[in-house]
Amino acid sequence: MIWRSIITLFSKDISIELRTRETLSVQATMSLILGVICSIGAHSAMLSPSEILTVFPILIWFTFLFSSALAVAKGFEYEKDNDAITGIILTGVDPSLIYLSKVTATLFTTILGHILALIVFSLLLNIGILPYIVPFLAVSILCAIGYCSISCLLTPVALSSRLRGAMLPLISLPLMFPILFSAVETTIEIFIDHTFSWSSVWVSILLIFDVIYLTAGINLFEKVVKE
Amino acid sequence: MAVNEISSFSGRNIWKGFGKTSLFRGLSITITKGERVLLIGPNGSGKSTLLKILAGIMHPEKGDFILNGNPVAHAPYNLIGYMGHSPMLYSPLSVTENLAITASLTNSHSSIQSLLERLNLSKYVDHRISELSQGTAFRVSLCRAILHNPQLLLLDEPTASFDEDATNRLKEYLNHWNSSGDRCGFIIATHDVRRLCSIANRIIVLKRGEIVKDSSGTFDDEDIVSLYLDAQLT
Repeated sequence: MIWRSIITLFSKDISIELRTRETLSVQATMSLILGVICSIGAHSAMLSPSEILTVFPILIWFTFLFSSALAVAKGFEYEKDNDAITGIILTGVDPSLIYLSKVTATLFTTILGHILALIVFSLLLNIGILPYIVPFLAVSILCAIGYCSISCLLTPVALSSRLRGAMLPLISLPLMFPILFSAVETTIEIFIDHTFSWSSVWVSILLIFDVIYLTAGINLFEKVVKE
Repeated sequence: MAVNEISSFSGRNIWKGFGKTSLFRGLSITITKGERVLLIGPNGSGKSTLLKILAGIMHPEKGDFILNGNPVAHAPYNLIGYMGHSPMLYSPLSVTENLAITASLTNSHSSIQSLLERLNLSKYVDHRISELSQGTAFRVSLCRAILHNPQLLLLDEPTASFDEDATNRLKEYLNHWNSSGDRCGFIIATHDVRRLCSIANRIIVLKRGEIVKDSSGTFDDEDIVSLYLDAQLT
């Protein structure tokens, strides 16, 4: 029953995305715009390839922050629209399963959006990503798990507040700092220092915050959606 | 042990406020098997809030719920069907897809097709919710509320978007729903008392978070007008 509920709710989110194609198109557009701006900036500042590589970890995670914020907000838009999430709560399904399926669906679109951004940046800034793709995607998934876990918990709070969408960055960015900082540091290890190791302190921090945020979400989501 | 029948359901000593305004200050309400309740009262009297609390989608600040004489932590979702001010459906998905989600999550074996036929919705099965009129969307919402075969139905302003024909179909369906199976009953919060009084055998008048009148029996237009005016004027 637990898996059936998660699969039903996950399929619902994916069906909505396939039907509307809004989240991925917004993420792709955002990645393209930021990629073009960064590319023009890098060329007009006459940065050398090594200098571009130095700023790449910041640029790619900055883009992740923007495009995944849109993905999470979009994911909850249809839950608030028509008060659809209340209809799901009324089925008696455990709210933690609603949360887990929401995190999984958001993770799916966030990772797809991040891959799009990676492709855009590698093409426009001429960065060779293929030798590093496996560790980078693994780190991206770890970062996205933490990001989606905390965002899916905080977005309903933000959307219910008077400030609505404007509230989300105010409450989520401080909590996301350790995840994003670790992701940037790990990306530097992968692309620049070539010293990446699975036992690195930054990977450990990512794992720890993933567990903390996911546990908090599972336990607090019921209070968030019912109040 | 899982309860699968409601012979009585009570909310006792319910306290609820919004910000500095307190609405319910110890309100108690009980519905017993066979009761068909109309909950009436002016705007802001607490009708919708009371239904949300009874449905378990809003927490009271204080209060107890008693099911069949036993205290419970919250309303049993599997035994209650609730329809609110919003259709509670996903607008990009079709009528069937929305109902299939509810059926899967509630483990319901009811036939979606026969339910849609009964509520005259068969021609909309493949329509997205965003393509439906408000009244039709609310009829689909009613299907969602009754799909898992609840014992107690809580309907908040169900006829607000309905024309005469849809209201008559709703009344007909509620009579059928109440008489078939071992149902507890329903509570309808409404301003549309004249059109719905014929299906009720109990009328509760709520004003400023308090029950000011609670009458049982059969009601005609005059009874309704006097109850409603009492609530508005006193």
